[in-house]
Amino acid sequence: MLNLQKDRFGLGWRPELAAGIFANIDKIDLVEVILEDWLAADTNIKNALETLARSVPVALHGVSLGLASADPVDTKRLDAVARLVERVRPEFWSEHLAFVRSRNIEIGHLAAPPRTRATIDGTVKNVARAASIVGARPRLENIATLIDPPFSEYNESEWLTKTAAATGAPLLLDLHNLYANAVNFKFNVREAIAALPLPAITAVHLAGGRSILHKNTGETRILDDHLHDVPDPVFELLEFVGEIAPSPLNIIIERDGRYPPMPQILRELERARKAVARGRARRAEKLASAGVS
Amino acid sequence: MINPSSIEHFLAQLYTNEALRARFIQNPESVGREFGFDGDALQQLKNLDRAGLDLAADSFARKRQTKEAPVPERRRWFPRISIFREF
Repeated sequence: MLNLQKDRFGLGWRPELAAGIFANIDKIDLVEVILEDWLAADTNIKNALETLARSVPVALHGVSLGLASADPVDTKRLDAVARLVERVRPEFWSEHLAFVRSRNIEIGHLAAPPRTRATIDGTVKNVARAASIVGARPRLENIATLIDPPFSEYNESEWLTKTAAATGAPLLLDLHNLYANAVNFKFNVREAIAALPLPAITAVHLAGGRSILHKNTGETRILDDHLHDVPDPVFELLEFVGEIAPSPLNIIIERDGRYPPMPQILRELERARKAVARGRARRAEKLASAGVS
Repeated sequence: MINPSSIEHFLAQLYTNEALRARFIQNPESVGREFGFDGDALQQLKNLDRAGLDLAADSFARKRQTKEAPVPERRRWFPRISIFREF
């Protein structure tokens, strides 16, 4: 079952999709499970997750640690993650490059920290603690943001690149997040991807979102809500990543609501396979013409 | 100079406290000084992306509301877990 030498394509596990995933398991290479959904589950439920992990490669995905912060990540949360990882033995686990709380304030979701040397230093400490307690470094995911993070010293690519280098952690590149940020803050998304440490990209998220309007200013932003189909530009970016990123990729489609029929989701998965295949073919041509075997 | 942890704490308050946000929109310099910002940091606060701040704060508030009403969402997991046993 384990094949780290090729690209794999999977879905985010959601209860609404469970039946469809199992009915089509031959078309799905791996599933990604939201870690927090299982931390407080009872033994039977955790047993079910173990069963899932024996049936199909599983990745655990965290959404609440707040690793990209000047403040230390909570040890109790890491202990809970470690217990679940020990039990489920996923192929890998991942978390976002975000802060989600400060002292007694819960923001409610992933917030972009100031892109500074200080937040890189904090992230390095937090990732090292997480690796020490959980037993493996998480793959680190870029987030979508509706506000250009104030007090930043670096642009997003620079900050991600420096963070990846300093932590030594692989990157989970969320293409819709980066696409949304590029539209919202008017930068070239292809240049941003090309500037990343490409060998470090080992996983990719695909999702959809929608345009939202600020009622007073008339400005629009893309909200990464995971409630819509993966848009065409994101598939084009996936093809681009397939062309320039050398490492085998684990590509996951995330959907958090307004679930379409399973055949439609599977068509998106197939479209992702074809996009990467086109990118890989172009990469092979380029390498061949450059005399690289 | 304000330390990185205090900057995050200020942002967390700005994103979650509607009254503070309203005061900030009216007078970012005054609120910035209140939280210990000065110099370049204060200038950056004055130039902060206001539309982005509003939209982000709305989005965070919706997420908090969803998390505060978790019962129906969470319960949906349990009956469907039987799918594992059928597999």
